[in-house]
Amino acid sequence: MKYKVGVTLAMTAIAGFALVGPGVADSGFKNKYPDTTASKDCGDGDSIDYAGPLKMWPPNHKLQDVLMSATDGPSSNPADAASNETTLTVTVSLLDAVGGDGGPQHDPDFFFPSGPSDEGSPTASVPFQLRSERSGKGDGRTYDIHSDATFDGGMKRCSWDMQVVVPHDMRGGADW
Amino acid sequence: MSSCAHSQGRGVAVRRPALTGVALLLLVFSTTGCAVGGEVEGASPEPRADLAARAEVAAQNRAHPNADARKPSRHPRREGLGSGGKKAGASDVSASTADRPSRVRAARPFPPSATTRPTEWHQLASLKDPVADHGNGPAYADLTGFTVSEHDGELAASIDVAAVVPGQLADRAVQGVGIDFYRSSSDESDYQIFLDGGSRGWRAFLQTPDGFVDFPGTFSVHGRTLDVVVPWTAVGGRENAQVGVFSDWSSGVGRLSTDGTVREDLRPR
Repeated sequence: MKYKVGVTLAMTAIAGFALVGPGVADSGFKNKYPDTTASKDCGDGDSIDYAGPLKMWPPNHKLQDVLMSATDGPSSNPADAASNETTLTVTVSLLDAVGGDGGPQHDPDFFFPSGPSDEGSPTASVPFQLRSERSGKGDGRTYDIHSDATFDGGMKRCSWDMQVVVPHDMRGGADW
Repeated sequence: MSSCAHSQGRGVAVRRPALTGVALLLLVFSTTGCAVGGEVEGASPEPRADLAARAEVAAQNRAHPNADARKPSRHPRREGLGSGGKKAGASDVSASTADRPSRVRAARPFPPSATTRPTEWHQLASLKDPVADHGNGPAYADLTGFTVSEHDGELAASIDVAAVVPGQLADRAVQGVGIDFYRSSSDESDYQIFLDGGSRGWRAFLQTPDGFVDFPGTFSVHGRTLDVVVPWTAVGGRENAQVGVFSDWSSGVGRLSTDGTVREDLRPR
């Protein structure tokens, strides 16, 4: 996995207290969600993981960085452990109430800066961006995100469908 | 709650189990005051209301009737008059107590409005936008002007609309007002102040190239004006840029409006 999250907490007493918070290695891709927020268990320790918001707010028309990754985890099965070669392909679709989106000046709605596919061992990672934009005519926007992964050098397949929403409004939103 | 306590909440959101102990320590420190460094956004599947600053809302805006039901006005200046017949934005400003703030900042002087701003504020840009060019929304969603000023390391942005802005919008009604700062050749802005209005009031967010950060300034809603003051450093420093404004409004049941300005050069140097 490209993201190594280090927690480096240090406290110093200088006219009070100074705190240095959790650190994220600079990988060039500024994903603000270094931790997995949703996962698909593909069995035998393998998984597809999403790091990003499940609900995007505010709907400010801007692209937000997220990350999908597939990891071939350790396994006690000798056949499974023989190869950690992993591939991942991500597709995104969305459906808005017609005429309610932000218009062409806010295209694209999603973007794969490094392409929608990756391969690696044991992890394949696909960073991408989703636009924080809602439909003004309905309940908001829903991004349907489909991931296809292969593990063990292509011997095993796993798919996952998940959704990220941009609500129209924050009625009922926690602390909102 | 202090800004330190706010960051403590963020840390808990990052990795709740691992930081439970640290969170307890921070809770102790938040009562004594502390500074936070090494800002890093954390994982949160839910939106981060704690990063935003609630608006201070003038009395006349708090008393606004159900603005959602109002039709676009052809007499914006008349609508801009306060209840006492005073010009909007010139008086009746006080902190809102209708909603409990999600966090309270250190006391700062209330930001002067564009119309009352002392002369030491230097105007950098001023744009006018046509009235009633915003579509099928209320007049308070209709941008009519935009002013950027600076003073002593701070930048003030004032957005004028065609009618008094409700302190709280009707149920399901939403308004988003964005101030985009372009500092590179990208079509996407590099910094953005986003003013989020809804039935629970108004909040200000700041998005930077590193993501959403604690809103570092003040935000007020008074009369027909939305006023924001932030340090120059919060939007990339006191350097030349382009700036643009947009306003979106939606009732959630079919009525929409959008309005925006062209990009304007900002040349503080």
